[in-house]
Amino acid sequence: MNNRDFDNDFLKALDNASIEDITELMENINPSEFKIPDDITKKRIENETLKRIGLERTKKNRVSKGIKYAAGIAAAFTIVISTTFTYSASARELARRLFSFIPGVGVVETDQQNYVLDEDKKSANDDISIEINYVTLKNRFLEVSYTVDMLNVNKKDVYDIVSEAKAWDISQEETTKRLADFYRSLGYEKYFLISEDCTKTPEAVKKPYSKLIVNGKEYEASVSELSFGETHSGKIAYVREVYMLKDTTGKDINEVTIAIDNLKANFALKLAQQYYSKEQALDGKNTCKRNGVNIMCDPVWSESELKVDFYTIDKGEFSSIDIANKLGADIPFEDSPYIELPGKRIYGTITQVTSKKTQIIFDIEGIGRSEDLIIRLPKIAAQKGESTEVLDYDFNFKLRSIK
Amino acid sequence: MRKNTLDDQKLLKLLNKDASRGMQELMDYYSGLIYYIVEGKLHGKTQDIEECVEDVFIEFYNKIDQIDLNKGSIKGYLSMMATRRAIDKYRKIASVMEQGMEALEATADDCSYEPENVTVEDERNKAILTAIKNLGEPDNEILYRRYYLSQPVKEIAEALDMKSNSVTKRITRALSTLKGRLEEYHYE
Repeated sequence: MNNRDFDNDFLKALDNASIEDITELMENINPSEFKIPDDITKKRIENETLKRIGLERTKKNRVSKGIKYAAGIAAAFTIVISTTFTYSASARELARRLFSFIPGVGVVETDQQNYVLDEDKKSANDDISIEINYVTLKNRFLEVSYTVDMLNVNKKDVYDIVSEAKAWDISQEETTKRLADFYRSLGYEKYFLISEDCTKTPEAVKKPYSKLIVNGKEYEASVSELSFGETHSGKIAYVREVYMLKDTTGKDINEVTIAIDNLKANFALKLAQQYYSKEQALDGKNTCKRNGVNIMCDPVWSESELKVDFYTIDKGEFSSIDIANKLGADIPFEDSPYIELPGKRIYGTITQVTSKKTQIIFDIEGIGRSEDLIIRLPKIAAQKGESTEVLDYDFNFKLRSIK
Repeated sequence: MRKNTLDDQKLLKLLNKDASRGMQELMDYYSGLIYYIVEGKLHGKTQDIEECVEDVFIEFYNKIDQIDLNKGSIKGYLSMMATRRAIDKYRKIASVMEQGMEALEATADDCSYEPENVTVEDERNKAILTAIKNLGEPDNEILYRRYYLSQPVKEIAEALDMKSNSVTKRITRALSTLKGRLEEYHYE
């Protein structure tokens, strides 16, 4: 046996340790030492967990610092909403002014409109390609998720560096240094902070040199999160950033740009479709409920296409709901989402899948907005525990024509 | 008998009495550690990491009745669930980066100990864990942080108020000692 075998056995032993052993080994490790990257993520995890269990968030004694997220307000929200039905119209009005529900985003405290991405934007040069996927602007905090495709990185080259390091038992620090040299040789130093600092994994790309430009004014991210994936042949960075916009509201914004070095991706914002309570969203005409699973569609018409964002408002008894067939449930093509017209079906193209929504574009050339349409989701995939099943729930949404 | 902190007992009581508040307290205190463990094993998209962390707390909630503070701490139970969930999720995703992923080839069996099912691998695992514990402090904690939590040397040094060089030396020495004590397995 050689050194590598020991490492593997060592890790296996730790990963399979009993509760008694783990407890003993962790005795001196203080959980307070470890923090989730940012408060927004922490609150989101907590809210989702409570929701999936079926528990309501209760008010805590401590006041959370940083961004005041809606979760702590949800309890007050519940109280106010119940009050509106019991007491007076003025209380109802108070609730409308204070709280609103953005599908896919959650309950937020607001006394102003909230904004989302109008349409996806992509921009590229010889080295990188930026695609803006998701934007929300609420209470002067702009959250943006985008991908940066590192066009000149061949994933096989990265693999060769890492696998060679493992074969020769080279340290993680040295491996990171080699990766840093590799990315610098391709000229990525001007787009990303490339560093030999070794973290949990030998990843040399640390963060993009990005900035947000709003009406000509530049902002730096107050929260920045980076993870990586692979494209067919290369490497892609998933970036999520939060910017605090001072002295700017959504209605003043004419143009927004994410810039990395000299590459700019411009995009626009639109008012978010808002509902004044979750109940209102659920009772809206563009929602469809089946056995506890509730899906909402938010359509945007244009001359030749219908772009529809689907949000899962309620997952029912399931942990994940999938419209885009990403859970590997093998939904046949004929059961994909389509527009139903007399004598024909128009199938759409899935253009975006995030944790919050699925976007599908339907080509409606020649149909336009003069006809009522029905969008059907014959089957969806749902995950519960370890298993995934296909549900024949046949969600449908009637979209009224604009005449 | 396992040492129980008063906090663990109070927390379990709170979870039984007021599940919502109990879960919030639990997540507030442990989510950082669990996120750290999952992130160290998944290396994937944030969404996958977040979902996995949620799954860990949901599993804990569903198994509250099985938590035995005489056997282990809440910290230990959560960490064990986090490791196994992250390994499971990694296997399902199977499309993340190569770096460090070979380390996740460990199996994540959920079998309880049954004498008739002891395998050579089980015996080796036990021998390794015993050898780690016998190293004493702080070496066993350093190895645990480095290999289980995948913590960088610099962070371990800060946590233990040591110099990075000292931590690196201790790791090298501890691994050498372990291999010596496990000579029946012929590690070089």
